[in-house]
Amino acid sequence: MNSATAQALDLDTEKGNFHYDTDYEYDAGTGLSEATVNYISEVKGEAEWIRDFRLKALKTFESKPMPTHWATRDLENIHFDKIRYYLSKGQTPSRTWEEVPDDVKNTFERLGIPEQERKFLAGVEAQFDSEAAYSRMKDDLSKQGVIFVGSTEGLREHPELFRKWFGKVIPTTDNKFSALNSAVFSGGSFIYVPPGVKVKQPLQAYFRINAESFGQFERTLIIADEGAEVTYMEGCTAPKFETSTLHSAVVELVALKSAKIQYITVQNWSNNVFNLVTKRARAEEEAEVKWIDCNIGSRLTMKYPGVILKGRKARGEVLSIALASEGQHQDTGAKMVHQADETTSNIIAKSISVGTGRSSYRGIVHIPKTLKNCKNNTECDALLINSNSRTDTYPAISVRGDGNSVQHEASVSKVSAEQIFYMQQRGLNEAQAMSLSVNGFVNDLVRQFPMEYSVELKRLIEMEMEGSVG
Amino acid sequence: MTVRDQSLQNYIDLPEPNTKDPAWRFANPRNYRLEDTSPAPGCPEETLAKLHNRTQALYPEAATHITMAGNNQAMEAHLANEGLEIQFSDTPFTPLPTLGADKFQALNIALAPRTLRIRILKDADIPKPILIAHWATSGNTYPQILIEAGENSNATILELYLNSDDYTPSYNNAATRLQTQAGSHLTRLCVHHRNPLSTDIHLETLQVARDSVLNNHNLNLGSLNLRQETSLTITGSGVDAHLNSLTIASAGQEIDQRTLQKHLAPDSNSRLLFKNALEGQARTIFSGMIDVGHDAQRTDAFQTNRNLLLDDTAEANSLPGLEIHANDVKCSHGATTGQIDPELVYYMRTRGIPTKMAKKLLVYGFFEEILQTLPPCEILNKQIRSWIEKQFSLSQ
Repeated sequence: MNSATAQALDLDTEKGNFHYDTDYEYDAGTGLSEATVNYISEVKGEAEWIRDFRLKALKTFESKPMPTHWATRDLENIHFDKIRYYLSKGQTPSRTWEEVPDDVKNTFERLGIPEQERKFLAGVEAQFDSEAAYSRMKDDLSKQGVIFVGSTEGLREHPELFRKWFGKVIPTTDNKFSALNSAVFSGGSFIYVPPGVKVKQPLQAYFRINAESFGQFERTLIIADEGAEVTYMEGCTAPKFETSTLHSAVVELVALKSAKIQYITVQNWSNNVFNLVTKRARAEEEAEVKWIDCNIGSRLTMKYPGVILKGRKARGEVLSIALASEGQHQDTGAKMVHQADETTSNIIAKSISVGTGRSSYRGIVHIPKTLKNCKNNTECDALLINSNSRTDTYPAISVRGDGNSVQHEASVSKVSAEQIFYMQQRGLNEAQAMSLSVNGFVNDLVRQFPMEYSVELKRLIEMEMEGSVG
Repeated sequence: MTVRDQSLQNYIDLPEPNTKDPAWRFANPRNYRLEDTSPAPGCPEETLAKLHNRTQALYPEAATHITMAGNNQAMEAHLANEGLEIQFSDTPFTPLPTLGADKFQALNIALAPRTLRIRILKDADIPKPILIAHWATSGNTYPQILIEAGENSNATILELYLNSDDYTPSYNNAATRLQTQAGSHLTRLCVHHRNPLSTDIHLETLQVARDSVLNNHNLNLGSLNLRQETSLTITGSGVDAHLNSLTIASAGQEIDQRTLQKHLAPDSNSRLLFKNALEGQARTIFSGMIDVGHDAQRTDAFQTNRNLLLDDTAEANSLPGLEIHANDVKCSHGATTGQIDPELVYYMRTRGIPTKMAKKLLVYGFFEEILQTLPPCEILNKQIRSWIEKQFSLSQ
């Protein structure tokens, strides 16, 4: 490939490169200590048990080493003492669009949440820095008993629902970053769907980082009661900043008997963000959990959505797309922990590495003895665009028991010169041809996304390949 | 300080392997810990002569029979072979990067008394296989084998790791290094058929130069615990390298295989096929890595691990990996773990084949893909098939 094409395929790093000054009413300052945690807890007016939970988590965070024995050493460049752990405008979540302050609105306009889409989406909760700035639920959903609130509100007003599962799918001690999140979390969504309720339209939240050196630690917990169904979407864009920013979320999903949860992420952090997220679901008998994950942007993303298949015939699925551009490292994957008979899981991961970008797949599939008739299918495909691009695959598969079967396949390839030549013959230039090939590579996954997102995602990929699409 | 002293110091200084280290994931490093490392005493001449007879009986037609017994006492019997040099050298190996067993490599270098050095000279064509048998008698042994294949040479090497009896425990820490020059054609078959009281570590380093063909086979049909590292480095273009392995693990065995296919030069191929059949609380670990360097464009590398679980107490762990730094490559890996398909057994039963026989046929069918690629040495292959029968309880 010539250098012009290479350049054309570069990430458009200027996109999302805007920033409105915002005045923060509450600011916990930089650095992390017990005082920071106490401050956050006080500002939020939290119950004593939550404060204890945070302080315990802080100790765990301090005692755990960085996972650099297997992960990239780039993690050592996170300076925990230079990060601001809590900022808030002190707003209460607004119920109507008119109540949202103008400067916040402006940011969302630039983000391009279209008016029409808002009508389709059942409720929108966009996190502007720490607190929900806009939150609305359609009337019929509230009538059905669906609860869709921020994490602070959820723990304060519905402790009977959320306390039972809070921190149970992902214990504080799971890893260093889940401990960090447990100590300083704010924002995120808490959703409860009552038995048998099928939420037809997807619930959506936009998350943004909007303050320099500001870690965002949202906490999401979704509970789908027996036979309930819900789809949740989160999309992320962040303005570009000079110093590195940390994003470390914890997302817990609980699908009770026969429930279905679909969790969709389309992520586009600016390329100085460390995105270290722990996502895990628990699927009871005949429940189904599907993670759809699209990672574009960030400096380093480490994210391995998992499903613990707890009940008989539970099903877990991870579909993931990663695009690593110049200087970026997408370290993504999936975990499938089978804990009951006849459970099935499916992982399909596709990654594209551009320039010096590096994409890695890490996965765990675990089927212990005593289990019968479990199945897993894993496919990872990697596409390398430039000669200095890099891709890795590190799956771990452990199988015992009776009638279990597992298959894993991975391949690495490049866009074939013949394909490019063919398209050039038909009048496309090299960059256009390349972009078309890349879109084709991910197309079969993109098509599985819900309609709203497949359109948005396609647009996002086209923008990433900007200049090459004509 | 000599290389040996330095290695001993390294052995003492290096930490015990830890399962947190990805190079030891799923393994039980405890299995390889050694309280008393001192090498076993050399075995008496008489025993050695007897063992040498047994070596010859295994495959009388071999070009050369080499017997290593106990701790590196050796005997050779040449048939006339031009182009072949065999000697025991006192120059110890220098350390090379391992796939996790640094500590054990250090111990091997520190305590290996001599190195068996086999040189196949330039343009030599040795039609009959060269047979090396290592007999563990008792205690700790540290064999070292160096195979150098000259330019445009052609040879077959058989390495057999055996015990003098079925009831004496042994601990063996072996190292094989193989280096080819341009245009050589080498086949190596390495069979581990130790008794069920033996613990084995085997570090294999295979370095392949331009336009060479290497067929490397590992058959693991014994040992209580075996850690086998197979590290292939391709330094030139036009190489065709095959790594095949067949492991049959039963009765609480742990077979831990780590592999690396490192491509440093463009336009070479490597193919890896590791098959495991497991039963009776046995555990296997396959951890493979294809590492394609920046300059290794147009590499075609493949890695397949297939595990057949014959009962519900066996455990197969698979860690296939890729690290690709070049973009114009064809690299893939596949790993599967499963049981015998009941539909196939049913089909055969409807044709009048009893269940047990049907299962046996299917398992042998699973093995056949590897067995067919073995070098054509009829007597030895028969021997190997009988060892497989012995290792494998379905035949009883």
